Amino acid sequence: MNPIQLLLVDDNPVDAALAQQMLESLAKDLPVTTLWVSNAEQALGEVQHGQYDLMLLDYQMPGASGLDVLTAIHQLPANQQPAVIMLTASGSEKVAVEAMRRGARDYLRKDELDVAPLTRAIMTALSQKRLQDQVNRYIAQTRAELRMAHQLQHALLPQRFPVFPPGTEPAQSALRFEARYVSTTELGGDFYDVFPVGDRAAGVFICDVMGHGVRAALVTAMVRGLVEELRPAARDPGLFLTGINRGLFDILRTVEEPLFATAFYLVADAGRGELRYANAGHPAPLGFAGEVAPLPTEAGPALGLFADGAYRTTTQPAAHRVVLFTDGLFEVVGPHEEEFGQDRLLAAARRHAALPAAALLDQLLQEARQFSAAGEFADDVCLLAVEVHP
Amino acid sequence: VNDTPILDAEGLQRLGDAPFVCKMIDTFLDYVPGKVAEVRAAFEAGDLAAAGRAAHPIKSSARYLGAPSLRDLAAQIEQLAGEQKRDAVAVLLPDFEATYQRVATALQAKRAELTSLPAGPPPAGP
Repeated sequence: MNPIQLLLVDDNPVDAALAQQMLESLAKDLPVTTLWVSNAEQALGEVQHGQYDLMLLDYQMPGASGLDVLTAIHQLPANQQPAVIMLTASGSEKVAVEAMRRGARDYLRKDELDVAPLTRAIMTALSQKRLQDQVNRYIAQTRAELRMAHQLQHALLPQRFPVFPPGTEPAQSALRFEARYVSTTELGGDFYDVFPVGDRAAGVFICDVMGHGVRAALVTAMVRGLVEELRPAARDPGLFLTGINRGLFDILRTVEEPLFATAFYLVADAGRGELRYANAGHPAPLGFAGEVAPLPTEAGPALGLFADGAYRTTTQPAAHRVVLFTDGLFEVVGPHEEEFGQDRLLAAARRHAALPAAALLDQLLQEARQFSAAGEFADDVCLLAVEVHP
Repeated sequence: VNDTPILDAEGLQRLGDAPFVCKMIDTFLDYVPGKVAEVRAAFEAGDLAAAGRAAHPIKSSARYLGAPSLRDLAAQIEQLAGEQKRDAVAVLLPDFEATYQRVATALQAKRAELTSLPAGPPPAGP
């Protein structure tokens, strides 16, 4: 067992000598290496540069008091903070309470200082500290893993959009895209993909997995796998969503809690001048054709809920622009508990219909954000514009 | 001056073996006189709060070395000074200083008894 590294902070050399003697007498059961300093400044210097497990801290010292030292210690990184046992004078229970409130693990009254209570306080403080250190390490590790997963999840999104027909300059493409992705937690459940289904036709997929966090992110990755796998059926939106639903249902049926995802799949076909799409419980995208209006859809059930979920394809003449989004965009809540809602979103889209796609998306995000009481989105938001240039 | 012994001999023995008791006596005699002088100086300068703060560490030091009367006087001075009771401190101060002197003398005697070496630094060479 490595000796416990202990810093003794006491301006009184008589008290310090006695405490050191007691600590030495513990050596057989509780080996302790003690360094004694006599003021707060030295104590903080030692704590910042050494690795101390434990501090025995006198409350009343000339200059900065023990409470000041405690406060300063708790501003240090967690792995530099020793467990502190406060040494108080008799009759100063209030000081002891204040010390505990500021993070001391325990306190000992100087007039009762003896080997047995000292041993007990040291053991208790150390076991608390070890537990705290474990929790801190676990939290740090989990955060690091979530950050990594967050990066991976971003890597699942298209890094650049295809051009139509292939080889065209992006500015001349028959289909052009803009996307915004706002994730509020470390991991989200929103996902979109854009891929060619013909020389002048793109498949545009957007989905929102219920909830967020690790579960939602894993389901998102599954959906992405299914989208890849079912590309051969991607020219027919109804068939495509029916296939994804079937695949997702098979995966999720073994999970105890119900999990599902809403999705909208659109084939923007500049060659035929039409939109073909199918909807799995997702908010209807906005079509920009003359006036701005939600695309008329026939919504089937959300993905992953029913084995036999079937989705029908709707065909419409091509709007020059379609904006797809997830519900995080309009489910923001204002200061009076009311939702931004799809009506306000539609009104904003109409007001700014003349803006270029990128500016329009930023404007919609900004208006929803300003509406919310928190000034920020509560859920992930995914926003995607498709422009058709026949 | 009362009849109770100025030092509680058992208290000293409880501290530990002879070398440690000697070390504690040396530490006490090195540290406490400065604090006693500090109490007086702060009092003369009219800074009762500082006098109280100087008296504070004498309490535990005196207790550990088995000097209850010095401990009690230091505690009273700390409290009265904290309450800004100048006259009461003035009354106690001479007794406090005299008691310290008796404690110091008794500790020096105890130290001499515990070891053949003198209490001070070793004499210079021939």
